[in-house]
Amino acid sequence: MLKTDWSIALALYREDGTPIGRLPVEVDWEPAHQWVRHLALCRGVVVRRRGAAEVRPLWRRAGGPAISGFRVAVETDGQPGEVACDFPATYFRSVALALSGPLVDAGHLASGETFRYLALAEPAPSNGGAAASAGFVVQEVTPAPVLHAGSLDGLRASATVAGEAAADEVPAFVPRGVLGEITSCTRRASPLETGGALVGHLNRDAAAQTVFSVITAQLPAEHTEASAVRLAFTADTWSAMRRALDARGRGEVLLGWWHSHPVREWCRQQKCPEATHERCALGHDCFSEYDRAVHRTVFPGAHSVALVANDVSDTNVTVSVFGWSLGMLGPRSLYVT
Amino acid sequence: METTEHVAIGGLEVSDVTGQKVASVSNVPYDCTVGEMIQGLLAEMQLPKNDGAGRPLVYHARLEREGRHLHGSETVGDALQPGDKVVLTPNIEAGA
Repeated sequence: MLKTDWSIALALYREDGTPIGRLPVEVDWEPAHQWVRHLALCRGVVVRRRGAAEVRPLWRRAGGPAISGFRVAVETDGQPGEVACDFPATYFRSVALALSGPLVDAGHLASGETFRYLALAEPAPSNGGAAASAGFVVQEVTPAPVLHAGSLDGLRASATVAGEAAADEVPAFVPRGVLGEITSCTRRASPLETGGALVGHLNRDAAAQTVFSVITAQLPAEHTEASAVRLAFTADTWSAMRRALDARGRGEVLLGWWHSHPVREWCRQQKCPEATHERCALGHDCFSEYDRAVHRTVFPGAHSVALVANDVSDTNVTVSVFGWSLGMLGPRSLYVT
Repeated sequence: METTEHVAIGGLEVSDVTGQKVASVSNVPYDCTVGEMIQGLLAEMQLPKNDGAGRPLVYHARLEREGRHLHGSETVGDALQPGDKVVLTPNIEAGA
């Protein structure tokens, strides 16, 4: 399990340098933790089961409290040392953005005003050793994922790239046929949203010290509740996905998810001229806070991919791709085979 | 006289939806409800408590042995046995 002895606060400033205030924030370290675990996989290092992962500040100046980022380190098995990765202060951007609404409401910021932040780390107050979970004893025992041997260059040679690559993104491959199925499902469900799981295998190229995803299929989501602007994945949805995955019997794992954006319907409701639908900003790289929450909640793994099928016109469904890069969620690319 | 082995359960294996995070859980009081157990596990398993709008997320516990979602009001002592595997599944919305 991840532990940190540090509390993070953000000192906020206007563009002209005027201080706005200093606010404590709750940082979600888990995507960074998952990123480091992925690096260990790439290097062929086994992360210690029941081992600790630790967050350490990277001071801007000795003594702090300002930090330029942080380091996450995980304990390894069978070899000395640890696997670690440094993360920049941009990791805190999403929590800084989340502060802006209340600051605007309180009159400390004007709506739309740009602000800057400086991350600060201070020793977290001790909880006196109190049990964190009502006295339960909880130990992480996540097994190492099954990795298939694969050649990254071999697969790349016969693939085309969709989307713009993010720095350090985990390579992912999807067959054109799977994208075709997603397009068909999107069309059938229109004007409602729909979605599903992306399943396949994790591969490791030992020579390149890289782990990458190879998607083999999409499984349509069942037991969802859909409207034109929402898609609720229920507990039954995830259970059905796991059953469908087991029934395939191919040793596949959940590598990500997809859902549709019925942009045509949105534009129709907004009474936008039909000629503008394909250029609509909502039809390109739109990944809402709701979408981000689904990805973070269910797919925090560094390799996890989210596809959005944008139903932008009678003849066109475009695909946007999102995923993790250094523990931060944003647009990314995908290899189509 | 009751002993600790009669008031708490151990040997549970709890995982997230993808199986990318698995925890061994023990010392859960028999009279603890499933809902309380889930809430106690979220922070330990680094699972988010809120959705994209900041509202509390609802998680269910699926008991693999019986192939059903447990009710939040069931007690751990009534519903679970040592060695049980439980999957935490959220109700969560994507959307614009």
